[in-house]
Amino acid sequence: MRYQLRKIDLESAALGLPTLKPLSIRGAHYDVGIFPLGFEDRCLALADRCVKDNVTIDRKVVVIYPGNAKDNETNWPQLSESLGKIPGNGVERVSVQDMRSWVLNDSHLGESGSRVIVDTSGSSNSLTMRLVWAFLERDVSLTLGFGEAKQYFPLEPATKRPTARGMSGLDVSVEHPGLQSGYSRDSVILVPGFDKDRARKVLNWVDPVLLTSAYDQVTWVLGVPHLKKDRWRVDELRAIHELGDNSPWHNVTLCSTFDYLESWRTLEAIYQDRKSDDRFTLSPMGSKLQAIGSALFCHSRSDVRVVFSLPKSYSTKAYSFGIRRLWQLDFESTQSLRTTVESVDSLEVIDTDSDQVLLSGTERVWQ
Amino acid sequence: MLSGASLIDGPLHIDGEDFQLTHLLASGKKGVVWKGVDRLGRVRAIKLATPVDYKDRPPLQEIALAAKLDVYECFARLERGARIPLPGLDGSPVVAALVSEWIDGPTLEHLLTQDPEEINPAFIRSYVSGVTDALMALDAEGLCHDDLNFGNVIAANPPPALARKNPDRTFKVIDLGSLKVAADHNTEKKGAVDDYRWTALHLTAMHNVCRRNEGLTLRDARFLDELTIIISRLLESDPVLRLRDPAMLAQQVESAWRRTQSGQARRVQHPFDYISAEQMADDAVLRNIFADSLPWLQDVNSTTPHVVTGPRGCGKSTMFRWLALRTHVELGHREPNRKEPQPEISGFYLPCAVELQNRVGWIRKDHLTDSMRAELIHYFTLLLMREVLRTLAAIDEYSAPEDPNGYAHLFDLNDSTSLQLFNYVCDAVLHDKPPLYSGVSRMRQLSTAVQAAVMASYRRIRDRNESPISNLLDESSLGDFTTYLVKLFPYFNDRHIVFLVDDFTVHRVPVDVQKVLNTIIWQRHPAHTFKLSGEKNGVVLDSDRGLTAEIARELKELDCGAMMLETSDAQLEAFAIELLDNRLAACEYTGRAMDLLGDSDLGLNLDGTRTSLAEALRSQALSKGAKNPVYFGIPTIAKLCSGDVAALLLVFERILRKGGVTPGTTSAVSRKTQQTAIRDVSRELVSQLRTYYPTGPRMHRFATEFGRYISHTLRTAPLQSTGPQTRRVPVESPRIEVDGQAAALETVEADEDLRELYDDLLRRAVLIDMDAGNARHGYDTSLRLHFRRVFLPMFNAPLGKNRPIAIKPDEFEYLLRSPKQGFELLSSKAGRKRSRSNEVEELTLDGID
Repeated sequence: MRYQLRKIDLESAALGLPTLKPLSIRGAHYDVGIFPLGFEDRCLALADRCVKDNVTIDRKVVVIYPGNAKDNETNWPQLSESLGKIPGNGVERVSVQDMRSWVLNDSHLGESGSRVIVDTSGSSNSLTMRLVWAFLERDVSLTLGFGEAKQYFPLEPATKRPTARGMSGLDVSVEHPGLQSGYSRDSVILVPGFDKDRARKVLNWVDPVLLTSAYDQVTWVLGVPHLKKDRWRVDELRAIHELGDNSPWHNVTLCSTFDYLESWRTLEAIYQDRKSDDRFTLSPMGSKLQAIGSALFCHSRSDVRVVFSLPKSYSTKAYSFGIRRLWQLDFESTQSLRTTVESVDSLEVIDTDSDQVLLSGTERVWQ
Repeated sequence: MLSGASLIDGPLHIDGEDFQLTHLLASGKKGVVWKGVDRLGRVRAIKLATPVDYKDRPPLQEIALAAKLDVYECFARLERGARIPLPGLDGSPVVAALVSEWIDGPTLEHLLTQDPEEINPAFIRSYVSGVTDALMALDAEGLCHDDLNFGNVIAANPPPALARKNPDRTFKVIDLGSLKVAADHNTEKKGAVDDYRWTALHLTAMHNVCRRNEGLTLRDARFLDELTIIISRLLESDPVLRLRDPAMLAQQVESAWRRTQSGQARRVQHPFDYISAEQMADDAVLRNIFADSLPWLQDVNSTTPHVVTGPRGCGKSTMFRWLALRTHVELGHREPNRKEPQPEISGFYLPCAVELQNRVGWIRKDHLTDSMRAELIHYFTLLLMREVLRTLAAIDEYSAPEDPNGYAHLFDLNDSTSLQLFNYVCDAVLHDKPPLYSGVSRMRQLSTAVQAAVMASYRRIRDRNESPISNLLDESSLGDFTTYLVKLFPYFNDRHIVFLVDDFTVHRVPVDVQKVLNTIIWQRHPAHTFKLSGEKNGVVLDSDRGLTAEIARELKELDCGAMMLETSDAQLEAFAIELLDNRLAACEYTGRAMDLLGDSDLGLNLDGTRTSLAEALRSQALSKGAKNPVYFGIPTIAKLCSGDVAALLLVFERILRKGGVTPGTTSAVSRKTQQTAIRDVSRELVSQLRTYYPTGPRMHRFATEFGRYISHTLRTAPLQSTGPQTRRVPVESPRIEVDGQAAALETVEADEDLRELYDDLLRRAVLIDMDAGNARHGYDTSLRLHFRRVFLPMFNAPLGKNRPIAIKPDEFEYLLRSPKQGFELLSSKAGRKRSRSNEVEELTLDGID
């Protein structure tokens, strides 16, 4: 008999994970629906679709952000009206800070198999990552709905208008503080948006030397839009963040904005490359789906610290508008998703003659 | 059938002895294990197996084989066995019954699935130590166990009565009912898992559990990576490559442990690797490049409570790490023959960047309920205790007690003292008795147990737990702990316990959290003191319970920038040379600082005196000819540093890079290249100010105008005498002195924008706050603010100081608010003053070479 030790890599761990598919929820029932209230018009689309497709939701939760409060509230009447038309109980308003404890402590989510739908269209990176973290602590069937905008800002190259106004500071994620210890080099992974200051602020905060000399310790993950006509946006990101050929920042990698698994793979590859020397800080400012990939990556790598660079407010006129299409990601069980995520880098013993797994995790598989 | 409840109705008669079964412990496909007692009440494990396994031989054969193992303590003795009819069952089926010594303790299977938090690298080492003993015994007796599954390895508890004296669990192998003669046994047949492969499976499962442990250190992670290689060799099918020697297995695991836990030996590849201390994983690297001539080291290497302030990169962390006892213990282990100067204190280093900033950085005043406050005190105290225990663990593991110069000997750290400390921590800190495993340092296991308590506390903080928790440590717990340590280890009488809390600054630890922790930090205690480092004005000195540390009485503030500015030129040069030489030597460069950079000789004046930098700069500014380089050489470069050691390193790095210095270079970099590099770095550091949020642009404006003003004054102000008999020299004015410190600060603090700008100018060391000097008038003190010296080359400004810019508080306010107009006003005011006094500007440049 020949036995072999195999390290489970992300590729094999993620084999059974779902991919994005067009939204199809006709007649579905959910125990909980979570709808973040943003200012973009796409944050109304999933609720409207639920009404149209005769979806029922027992409990509807609207997530309230502290920033852009007035702008967000302009969407409230319409969202409220749509949610009112979805059969089920009334609507709760919960602040974004309280969402983690809401998910962790809500008794209705206690039984495994509860069905939850989350509209990520109006969800910030920090809220998306917080929700994924919290649902990995529970066991639910999770549907992440996503409204793709018709137009994303900037609309054309060299648009000067920033997407954010001012900076309110930096927050270390409470869910992903980076359980690190010992001494090591700081390494930063930036998934930037179209705002130079937000990215620079992160580097300055981690270590000002990253702005002036330690360029190899910074990796830029630039989002590639899935529509060909939008691909110029990658060059725009390069221009805004000064990542051209003459730039000292040479670690630049591209990654789809529309594929959470690719995001996860990209981050994992960067991590694997330098994990024995570096202490990682990830700052996600990219797409919603990239944030989902980031959340799964960070769950599998508890030593990675996540830092959110927060603007005082977003510029509502320099943001996306319209709806192109609605999509969904279905995770049948967040506990089995968690097992998958946690299996990355674990060892398994296989019998190479029969290709049978003998031990995986702590479980002896054979009799 | 074998697990039927009817079996406990009456005794089983096995090989002449009656046994009463009491509990069913485990059941498998071929048999079950019961707990039972003999007629004397002795507990035994009784295995009942289907007779299929024993159809060709009586169980007595295993007993005869097992008898060979009686002398080895790592096995549960197999005492008797027989084929017996099962009572009370139809047809009285015959089964094989084996009676073994009872071993109390959890099985490996139980620990992996029910108590995974107990599985850590120390546990793995203890397991390997126990199991390899068993494998060695089997090898020696020519046997194989043949069923070394997860349930057949037990972490045996010590007898309860002896647990306080010797609490260690030892690993034992049970169920010798499948013993085989190794020579007759085919381990390659289908489905066979030999003892070594079982060991590999155990280690794989332990690896998988361990890697999910929160708070796994980078060193632990490296150990697990190395363990993977060892497991692969246990599973190897090639007889040449596979690991089948238990002694070798034990030795490889121990080597992996030592290699990974004592820090990775890293050669410095380039002289300017690791600009900041946090990046140095290897203490040897830190030691090799640490410059003992750091001007403030002498002061800090004492028991005085200190707040060491200075900008990022001023060397605070490097110095704190050098002062930490653990650094020297690990170095002593790695390089035993190297004799090093030892710190005067027993330092315990806690960096705030990871375990405070990341984990409690989000806490604000409104989160600080009574429970949160109590939990923070508990958490912080545990962090400090853990660092002490990690240091003691390093001593325990790396230092031989018989070595008269070793730390274990100096500490008198032995079995007895470590057990006393273990019992103290269990009783007073953990309020729990975590199991200890034999063969591994108790101090290591204790520090791991405290780390688990740290993580539990952190989780309660993260989840804002409001449920009452009993037995939290309070403000006095740390003092009780250190008092006990001093009593147990008299070494601490000679070298006082000092907690070195690095980067305890608002940037890392919020003000309100600092105020809570200050109830521990500023508590005066005979057994320990604290030293903090932080940015200027970033360390809060009062607590939320009214405790305030007074500068000068309870603690001393030590501003690295101010100290550097007051350090003599000779000391500065010595420091700069050592700083660069250490780095060059660490990566085996031939050249040294003086070879590569040379002196700063600007020639002679006509009167035979040496031309100063200020004289040379002024001469060049007023002449139209070719301009020779003036910023070069060690003396000038050394003076660029006003506390910001990292900036000095940047200058060195740029000069050596631009000068194409390689490991073999011994000739000096040209003066022109040196000057270009110095000016480039200066320019970059000034521009970098713009990036600081939110005051960056304003700081940049201020620095630019101040620099221009200094340069302008050098060029236009009349030469001045520094004494009646001295020759007249150019004016160097990089220092603002505001008459009336109190009024100046009040003015600044009255306006939020001004306060923010002023705080950042100090925090980023654009201005260095010198100790309050005497005001020129009255009894008030003056506010003395020195411009950061590394900025000066960008403005062609000199590096010395011979005349302050004396201004009033309202003028200072104007400078901050409108630096361009403010400095212009100062220039024109100085010009008017000169005109009024009919003073003729001395532009005669006689004497300047």
